[in-house]
Amino acid sequence: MSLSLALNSAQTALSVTSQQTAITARNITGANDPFYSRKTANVATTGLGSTYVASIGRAQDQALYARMLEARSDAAARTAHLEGLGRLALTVGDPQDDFSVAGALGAFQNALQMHADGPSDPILAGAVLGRAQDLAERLNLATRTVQGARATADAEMATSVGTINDLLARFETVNRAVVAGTAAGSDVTDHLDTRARILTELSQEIGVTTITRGDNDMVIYTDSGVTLFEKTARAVTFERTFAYDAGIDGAAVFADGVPITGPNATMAIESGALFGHATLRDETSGVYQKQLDEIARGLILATAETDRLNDPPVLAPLAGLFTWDGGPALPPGTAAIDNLSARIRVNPGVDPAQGGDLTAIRDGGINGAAYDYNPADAASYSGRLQGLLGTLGAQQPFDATAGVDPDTTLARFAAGSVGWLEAARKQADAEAAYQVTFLERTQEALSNATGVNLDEELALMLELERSYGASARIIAAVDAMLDSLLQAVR
Amino acid sequence: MSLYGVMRTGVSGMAAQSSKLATVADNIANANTNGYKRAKTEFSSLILGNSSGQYNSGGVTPHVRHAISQQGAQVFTTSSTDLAINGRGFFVVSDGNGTPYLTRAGSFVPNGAGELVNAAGFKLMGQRIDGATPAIVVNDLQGLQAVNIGQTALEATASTAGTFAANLDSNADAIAAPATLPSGNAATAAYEATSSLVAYDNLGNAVVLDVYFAKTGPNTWEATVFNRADAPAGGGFPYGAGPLDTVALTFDPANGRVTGAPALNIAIPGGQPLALDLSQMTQVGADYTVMRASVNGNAPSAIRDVEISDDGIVYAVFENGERRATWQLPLADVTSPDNLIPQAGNVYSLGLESGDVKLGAAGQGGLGGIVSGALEQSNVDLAAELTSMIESQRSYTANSKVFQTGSELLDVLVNLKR
Amino acid sequence: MKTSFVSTLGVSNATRLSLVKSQSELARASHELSSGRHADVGLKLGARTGQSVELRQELARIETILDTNGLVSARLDTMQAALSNVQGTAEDFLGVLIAVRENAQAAEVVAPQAELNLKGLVGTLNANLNGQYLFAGIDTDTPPLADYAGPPASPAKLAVDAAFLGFFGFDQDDPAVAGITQAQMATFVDTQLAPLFADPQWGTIWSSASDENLSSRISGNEVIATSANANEQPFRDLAMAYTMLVGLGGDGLAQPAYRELVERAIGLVGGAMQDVTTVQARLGVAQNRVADATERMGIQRDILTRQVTGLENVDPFEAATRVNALMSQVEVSYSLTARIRQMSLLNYL
Repeated sequence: MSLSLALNSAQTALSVTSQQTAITARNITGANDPFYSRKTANVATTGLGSTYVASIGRAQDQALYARMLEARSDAAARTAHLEGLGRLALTVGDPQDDFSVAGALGAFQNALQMHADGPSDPILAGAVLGRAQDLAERLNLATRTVQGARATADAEMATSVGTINDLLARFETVNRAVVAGTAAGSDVTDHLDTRARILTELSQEIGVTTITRGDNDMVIYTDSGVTLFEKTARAVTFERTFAYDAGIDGAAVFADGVPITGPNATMAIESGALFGHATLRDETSGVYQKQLDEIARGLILATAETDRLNDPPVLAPLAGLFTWDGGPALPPGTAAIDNLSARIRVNPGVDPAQGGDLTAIRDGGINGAAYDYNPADAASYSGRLQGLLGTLGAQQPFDATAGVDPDTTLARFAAGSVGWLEAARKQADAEAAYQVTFLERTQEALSNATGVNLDEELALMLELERSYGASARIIAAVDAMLDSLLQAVR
Repeated sequence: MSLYGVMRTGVSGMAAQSSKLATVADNIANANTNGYKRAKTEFSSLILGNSSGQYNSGGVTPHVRHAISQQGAQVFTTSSTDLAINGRGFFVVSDGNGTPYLTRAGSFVPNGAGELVNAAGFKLMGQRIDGATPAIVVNDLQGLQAVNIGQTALEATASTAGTFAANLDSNADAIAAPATLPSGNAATAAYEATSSLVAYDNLGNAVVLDVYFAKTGPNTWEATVFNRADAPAGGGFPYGAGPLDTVALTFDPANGRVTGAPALNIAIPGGQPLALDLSQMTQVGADYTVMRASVNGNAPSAIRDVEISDDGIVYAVFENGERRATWQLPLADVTSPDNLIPQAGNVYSLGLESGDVKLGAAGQGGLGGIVSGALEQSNVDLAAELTSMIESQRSYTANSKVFQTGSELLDVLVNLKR
Repeated sequence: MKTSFVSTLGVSNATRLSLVKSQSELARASHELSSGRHADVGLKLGARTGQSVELRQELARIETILDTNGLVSARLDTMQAALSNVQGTAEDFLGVLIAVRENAQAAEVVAPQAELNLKGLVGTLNANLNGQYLFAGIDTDTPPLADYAGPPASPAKLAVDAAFLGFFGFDQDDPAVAGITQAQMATFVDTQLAPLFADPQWGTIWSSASDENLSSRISGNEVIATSANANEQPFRDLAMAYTMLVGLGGDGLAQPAYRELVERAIGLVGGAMQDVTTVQARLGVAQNRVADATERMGIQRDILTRQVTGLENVDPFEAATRVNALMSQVEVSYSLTARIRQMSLLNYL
């Protein structure tokens, strides 16, 4: 029966070769898909000379892949944080444009200086008022920008959580197909590719670690160990906060019922875009807002009016040129007051448009005669203005938790705040650049390890073509042999 | 007398050769029949009594043999219910009347009732596995049932065992007042790490188990498990009901391994007791990392596919990837396979000469393993058949010449009297 | 099972990524080259951005103070000129007085000149720069002195007339003035006239100027007085001298009484001239300090400008070199990409 056996072997060889060709074709199709892993046919032979494709293998490198996931999460976290810092940096702009609060403060002080030299000139007084309003507005705007950045980060977190849940749901479907396929021994390599792709997308949003169980079943944990997927997808929940101010803390993200972001998280995540946005929303913005609030507080305190009738003073100092919604009393205490930078405004008592009197800038007395520095209404009285310049240029105690040198002048504090923010941005940029480069390198290494090389596939295809031809030749030869046998039967 | 004898001998030769030709025809016809075993014709001579002076020609008688024990080549298919045997065993099949036969033709497909039927319509026989694998009755074909892979109901399995292995951070701070341990189930409960696992109750409902780990002191931890269903909205403590179980873990400061074999014995509500093995937990100076997490059991799900292992166990593969052994396919063997009686449809029935049937599990005692996704081809070799055909044609012609010669001699004899 | 060490995607991605990187780097470098500053100053400087902002504020403050110092020196210059004018007039007048003190007809010569000088003094002290009365102290919106004779007659003239009438019992035009003795006149001047030029009467009938001089911040931490006011002693003395010779009967007086007035006027004018010099010296010191501060801050401004430039600007040569290097790198990347694309087994099959 050896002729039949030869025929049979050649026939199985043909079928194996064509299956291998199909896989090569798949490889070539997937050559430019970054998530495609190269497939190979694992060929086995049986005792009687026939061959068959026992399974389809998939090039993989678990260690590299895990590193790539990690790098992707880190890069996403840094990039998200950097984006947020970029939004905060809008409050600073280019130092050249003096768009920052520090710039507005400088302009205000300069207007005061001009006015001090010409106290009788209402144009200069108007300039002081204008600069003061500008400064107050700049502070208000900065607060709105910071809180807007927090709201944006919150929205990004909501999007991120939505994406995570969506991806986990898709993961559940694919994972089930992988497990069932693996159990049934069918070709699950494409499902594995899809699963790897989903996991890669997931790592963009949140840092993950995985373990693989029997039948290729995968379990996903956050980088802090909270279960995200184990047979079923766990719910990741997040309550959006739509409007922010300094006193409002954003809600935490819960995974599997455990808080994973925010100050109360016992198992806080450490990477992924979600982490980057949460850091910006809960930490960076808070500190920066505190700095703005401290600038506002310093400004109100430095421009306060004191009792002029009694020495030592009996009446409490009250808010002067700058006031707040708690005015005319000064902001109490020595710690930052939430939202003060949004609540600060120029005292209506000096604004003619609001029924005030411009000369109050020069003379004081917004809070009544007891606070009038220039009872004689001398037109060129500059004592108050020089006094303001003095207090604005003097050292003040600031909240030590604001991240800037607490014992310094208002101008230096404002400049320090700019420096703090830009330092954070520079650091974030450097980290993001490093992580992105690292991610690119890891992806390249992974692609080299598991991706397709077209030349290699083409060479393999030539080989397959040859082997197909050889098998066909065997069939032809056996055919010819049987032919000659049949011709013998006459 | 002897002249007639010559003619009869010629006739017997022709009859024998035509019989051989018939087997060749059969073989060639079935050259592509899966599981077909080649038939061959053996001849034996008939000798008449002879005196010293006279030779009486006898004759030849054909004997048909079947090369049943000779294994054919295997071809691979894409159906998991196409079966081949690598060895000397036979599948046990039965016809519509329940009469058992043996066969090697394994091209089975499920019929409308879910029974596996081969190309000739014979049902594959096996033993149902319900829980434990039943012992095979060695010599009784009657105890077998037709293998049915159809599904009668959604199948669920309650969880009974599981393993959880993770590393706990040795540098974590022990839970200190005012925080309390999770086992107290108070609002002030604090913990170092938590993970959740899915288990199944008797009806296959998923029960999510929250496992909390809290450090109680140097090298001592407490593992507590709660039912997620009792958790307050939004998670956290306190749960609506107390912990399902709690166990103290003590780690060896020398190597960070857990001492003893702690386990959480969880009474799954509406399910079976589940023993969650924690004996592979470690406590070293690294973050909380889960190494292994598994719980058996499965949710109700439909059979998606059938997988047959090489030891003849039929597994039902469910939608969710679970596998369950449902049937055992025994293989049969007889002392003299070549003496089995071939029946239509590539099956063989037992005959007197074949010896008694023995049943056994695949892979045992030379029965051979079952190859899923393959078929055994006929063991006919066309070239050999064609050669025998030519040979037998020539022999037939020669025999006819003998007859012709005898006939011509008789003619001569008859023409002696004119 | 994997024989190659590079994937097709890896090769094309590597060239693509490096190209993208070089291009964005090139965009940044060419922006820096054209603007001369860092593309993103905040990102480049990091924590030093605060320093940059602070330097810029310091710079703006110095510019402002330099501006205001210009105004201050203009004011001081004007006041110096006015004081020199007052001084010159007084000197001339003193010469006249000394020349005519023995002369019986002295009043005919002196009175018109004294009247003119009084007008001149009032005019000078009412000097106005940019709407500010220079010698009004901080009360710069009102002229410090009113015209003595009028019309309308100033409160000062009314008060002098009333005092004369009250003391002698007749007014200055009365012929009876000829009967006033030297002693009577001396008593009148000491008890009646002098108090009109001393506080508090000076502040009510003569001057509406404030005693408080303008003060200016001429550098970061120097606040100095940068004006004199009409209440300074020499102006009072001069006003008194001129008033005595104009408003106390003049040529109607008997020789001894008039001589008493002239003698006293000589004393007053002489003293006043010294005091004016003192005031001028004081203003001169202020001028000096302003000039010093201005010069100092000019230097400071240059240093600060250099520092800001050093922080925020890029070295144009370095930027140009970088642009060139990047351009050739991008070109190499292009040709490399093209060649790698061509390098495929497909071309040889």
